[in-house]
Amino acid sequence: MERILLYIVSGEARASWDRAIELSQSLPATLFALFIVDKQTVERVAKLKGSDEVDIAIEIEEEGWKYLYHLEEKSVESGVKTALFLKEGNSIEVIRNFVKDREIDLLIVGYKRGGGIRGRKYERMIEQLIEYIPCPVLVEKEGGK
Amino acid sequence: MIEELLDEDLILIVDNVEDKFKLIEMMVDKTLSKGLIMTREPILDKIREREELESTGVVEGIAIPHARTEAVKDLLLGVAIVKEGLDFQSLDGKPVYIVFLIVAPEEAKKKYINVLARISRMCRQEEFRAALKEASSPSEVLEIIRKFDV
Repeated sequence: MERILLYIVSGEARASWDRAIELSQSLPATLFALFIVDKQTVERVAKLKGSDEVDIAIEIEEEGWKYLYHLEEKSVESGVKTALFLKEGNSIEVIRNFVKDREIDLLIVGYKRGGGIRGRKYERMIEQLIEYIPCPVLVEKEGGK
Repeated sequence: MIEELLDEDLILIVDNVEDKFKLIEMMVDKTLSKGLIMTREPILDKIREREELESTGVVEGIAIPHARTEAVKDLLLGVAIVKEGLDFQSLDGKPVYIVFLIVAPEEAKKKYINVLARISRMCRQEEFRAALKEASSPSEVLEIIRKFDV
């Protein structure tokens, strides 16, 4: 296993970050960290807030760079070869293409049980990742056993 | 915002260059001759160290080497256009034509993230990349950045 992809959804999913760094360090493997400015999320948030989609996309993108910045600090400190990526589009599609193009061996994503529509959307996204991504998917449970 | 951090003296246009570290040296030298840094070695060491372990990808053909170091007082930005492309040892193995170099102290974290976000936003636009690749002078590069950094 040479290439691990960590899909960064939010700053809360730190257990998946730690797992990705730990695995990349011990194998060793190159760690690809990916944040996606998801178009549907942008549209939904803009509608909810009554804001302009461009402003929301900028807000989400800056948040994404913040996560990538923190991940980079942790991984480089651990001596892990790391590549940071920020892309736009439909999350599942972007990840699927990324995995194919870069011949990723393992996808890691964090999972935290959440309620309401947001929680269900997240669970659906995890299901889609498992179903459509052409590589093994490691779902790291966040916040306890 | 990006144009506030740049001026023509910090923009480099070359046809080719032997390797990525030589290009980074040339970019850092620009900041040295402009008096923005006192010494180049600690900065180059930090960038080399980072480049060994990390790369930042937005789209093909663009590289954003960056480092955080206390050797600089404020965020420094440099731009280079390599007309014939350069093997940046990027993970996709594709040549790089446009390079944004960012060096910042730890305390400039917010600014650093903001600059990174702005650069990546501009670079995702094909029109921007094409215009930069065709630019023939630093003033033209600056003009293109001014137009797209909104």
